[in-house]
Amino acid sequence: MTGLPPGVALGRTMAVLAAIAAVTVALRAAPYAALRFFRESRLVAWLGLVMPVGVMTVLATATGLEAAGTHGWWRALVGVLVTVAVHLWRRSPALSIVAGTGVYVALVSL
Amino acid sequence: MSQPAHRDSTHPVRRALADTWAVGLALIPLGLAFGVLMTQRGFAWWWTPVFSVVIYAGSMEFLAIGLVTGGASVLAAALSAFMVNFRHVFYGLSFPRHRIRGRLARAYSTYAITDESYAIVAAQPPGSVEGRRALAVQVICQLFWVGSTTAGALTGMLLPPSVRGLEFALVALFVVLAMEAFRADPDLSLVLVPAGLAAASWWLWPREALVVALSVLFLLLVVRYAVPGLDRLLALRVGRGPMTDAGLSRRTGPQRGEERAPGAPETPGDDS
Repeated sequence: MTGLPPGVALGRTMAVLAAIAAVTVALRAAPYAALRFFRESRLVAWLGLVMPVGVMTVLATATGLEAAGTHGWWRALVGVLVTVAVHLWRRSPALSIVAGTGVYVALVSL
Repeated sequence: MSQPAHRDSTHPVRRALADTWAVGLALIPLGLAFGVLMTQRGFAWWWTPVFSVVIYAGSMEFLAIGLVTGGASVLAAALSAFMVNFRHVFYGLSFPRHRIRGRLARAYSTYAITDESYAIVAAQPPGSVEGRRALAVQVICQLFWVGSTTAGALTGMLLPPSVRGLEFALVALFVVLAMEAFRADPDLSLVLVPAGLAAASWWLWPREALVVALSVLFLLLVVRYAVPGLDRLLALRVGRGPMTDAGLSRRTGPQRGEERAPGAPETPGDDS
């Protein structure tokens, strides 16, 4: 009993989790190991500024397209628009996520 | 144990609770959604705390569900983690880990630097957060997160299967994170180009879309850095964000740029 979804292997799962954990901890430890480098590297400063917007946009688009493929594009579009609107209105991440997800779940389940 | 002088005689753990509870409450809906999703995708409930402890990076945990169930390679998983969590490289620059005593406690603190714990500590006046308080903030954040994800996994078993679509919490999370990151550098090309990349790789290689789009994005950003002319050509700046004179400070000012980590509230600067 591995408690995994059917067709998912335990060894592969552990390897994937371990890889993610190792990279994440390495990134979190990096500045302590090489403070000067990370403080002074212009490339790192540049990446720190431009990567979050780019990466989050890639992820939002990819996961949004997947949702559009599963439950119809207009439901996904409404969910995204509600999330954006509520976030522009209150700028409270938790509220925006709950509102967008709530509307989407309602559209999909009802 | 001699305590460093601090302005307030309140116990550091109590202060950490006061610092953290609002952020902790905001984590609950997302944690619940993650746990419910894990159960709906067919994981036994206890896999949820395993994910939350082993990975301990909210958005990456959501992505890991797809990576694990989709049979992604170890390399694809590592690459995604690098791109998604790269921002964490900056948090250690100003987090008061040097004030935390004990090798084990420091190791925990390194592992547990998340967006939330960093932002909470960075919001305090520089130099005011002593080691035990910083550590307690991190522990409380993780308790909130692991507690709510596990609660979600357990409630997920009670939810009728007709309730679907909770995976949209991930889309909403990324939309919100993108909007927040955009405020730090309001350059529309950083939204349009990645969105186009993601859509194109979605059409061309649906199974590898994420890794392809993230790798191409990384290369493109490095090239933009190396070729300032290309950067000027692509930049589509809007409004006057905090970094609007970024054309300058982006390139010339690591001394300025480092003071605030992207996606996080303004840090008052280094406290050491």
